[in-house]
Amino acid sequence: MRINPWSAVLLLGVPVAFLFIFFIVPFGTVAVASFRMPADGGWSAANYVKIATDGYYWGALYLTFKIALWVTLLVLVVGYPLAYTITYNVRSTLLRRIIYIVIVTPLFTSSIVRAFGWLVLLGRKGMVNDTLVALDFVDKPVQILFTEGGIVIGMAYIMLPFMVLTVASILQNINTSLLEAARDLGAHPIVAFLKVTFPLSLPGVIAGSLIVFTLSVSAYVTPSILSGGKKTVMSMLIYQQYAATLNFPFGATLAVALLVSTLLLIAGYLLVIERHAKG
Amino acid sequence: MRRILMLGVTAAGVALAAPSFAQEKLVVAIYGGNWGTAIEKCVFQPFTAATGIGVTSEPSVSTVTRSKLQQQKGNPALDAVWIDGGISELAMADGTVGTIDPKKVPNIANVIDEGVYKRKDGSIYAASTGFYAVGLTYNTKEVKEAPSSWWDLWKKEYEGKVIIPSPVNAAGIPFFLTINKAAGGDIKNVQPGVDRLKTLKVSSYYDASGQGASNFQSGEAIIGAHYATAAWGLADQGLPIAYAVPKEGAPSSDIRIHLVEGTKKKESAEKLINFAISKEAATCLSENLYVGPATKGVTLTDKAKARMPWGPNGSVKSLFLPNWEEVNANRDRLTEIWNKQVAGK
Repeated sequence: MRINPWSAVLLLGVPVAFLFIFFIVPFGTVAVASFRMPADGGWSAANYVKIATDGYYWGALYLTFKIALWVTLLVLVVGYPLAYTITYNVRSTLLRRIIYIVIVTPLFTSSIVRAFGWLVLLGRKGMVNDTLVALDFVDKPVQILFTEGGIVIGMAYIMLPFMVLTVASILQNINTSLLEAARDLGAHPIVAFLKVTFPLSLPGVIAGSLIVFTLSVSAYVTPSILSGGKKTVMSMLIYQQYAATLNFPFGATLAVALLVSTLLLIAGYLLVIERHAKG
Repeated sequence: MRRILMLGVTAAGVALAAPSFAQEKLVVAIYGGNWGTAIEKCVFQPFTAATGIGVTSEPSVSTVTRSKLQQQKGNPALDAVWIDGGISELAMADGTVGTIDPKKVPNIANVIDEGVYKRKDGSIYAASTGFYAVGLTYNTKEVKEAPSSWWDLWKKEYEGKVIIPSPVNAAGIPFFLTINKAAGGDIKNVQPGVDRLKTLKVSSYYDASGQGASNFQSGEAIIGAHYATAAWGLADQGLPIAYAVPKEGAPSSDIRIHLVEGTKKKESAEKLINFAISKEAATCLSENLYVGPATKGVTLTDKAKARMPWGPNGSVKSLFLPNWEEVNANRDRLTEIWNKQVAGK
């Protein structure tokens, strides 16, 4: 199919212009600022040297990726069965629509409100601890809030819809006759799932995990509220530089470092997958 | 025909626009939330009623207001701005705030010395419209004996139930310096303060005042360093929360009004500043926000008097007003020390 060159320019131009104005230009400004020195306004790479040579910033970067990875895994473990059930086990269209609405509704609420909700639920006197104590699982309330685990729980809840929707949209398009063929040939349902359904749904898993991972890496509100300042991820350090210390160049350097290292990780991830797919 | 129509439209436009020339409208940066609401109620509404000059408020936090002024330098869209102590000094150094002339703003003579901020050459760049402080906020049901010292936070029975501000909060660094001073350190040597804070078993460090308040609400925290205004706000909601001034001093700051350098509505903006520091406006702000008035001769109700940041019997002298220029010069270093040695312990 050929399209009119003008349509092509328009089709391609609009998103490119959008990206340019709202991403490339602001990011370029940030990247340029990262080479400035706060003291005299001169040019220098000293900010990068500081990050690279100080173990504290490597630690923050490591924690950021570690939390994002746990969030991605947790969301996958919870989200995949959910998407599977909605697609294959819910027969009524109405019920399926209702489930989608329930999954999407939390996205309409501000993440600040949801993080404050977790403060109440996960606290020493919160519902989770009350239940654990009442069921005699623990003697006294356990510390969930203001730990890495607490941050992961809060973020996973926020990220869940992205995984469910991405995976479900792929599952819906899998040709069910393939599954029927596998069953006809005597495959156990679990084997049929592992050999047919799951491999075919991998594009959804990959896309979903990329969305969840990148959103988790850059999330600020949830980790800053649920960490209670005891765990520091990169977004919190960046905010601190821009809002409190007012060292914009160093904040910019941290932002560039986070973006570049995230891109590298994702590139590596995709490369491994591609190799694997070929092999 | 079309031309005639255009003329008509233009004429109508001019006619409609004319009254707005006569009735000037100021654009003023204030705070969000109940602080902004109180300023609108105590200053803007009575000011417009008295002078006919309208005010459009632009809510934002001090650091953002400062950035806006930097971007608008030379052609400001703002006419007057409220900025907190600490950031106010930075705006002065940026050259974005103008000079308040006592001849044009006569009420400045009625403001206490601590509330009038001058450049090295003696010119005034800011006037205080109320002091606030961070002191010992505690749950009266859980904390049996009213605390009186910062060191009470280290008591064994409060372990894991204490909150203090992080450096992102405006009170974070001043609090750090207060503890450091009480522990025998100074701004060059913060090791004594770090050593003490390292041993404090906190529940969490809060960035925003609301986060701190929510910790008291849920019972996650029972004692901590928090704003007097927030403590009394919780008490007004019926929670068993009280506030005490620690004997080592409560780190304090204030909400200050500034004239924007190069405003085209200087005369009206000066009138507004004069009004904001008047006895009536100061009384109203203190009654609503429990900020300590910077204007002399303010008479408060007993309730407000008991809730002043300096306590029922204190004065501005009982506050620990940081040397902001020193704090600003060391903000970077102190935040890094905090990140690595206190939060990341």
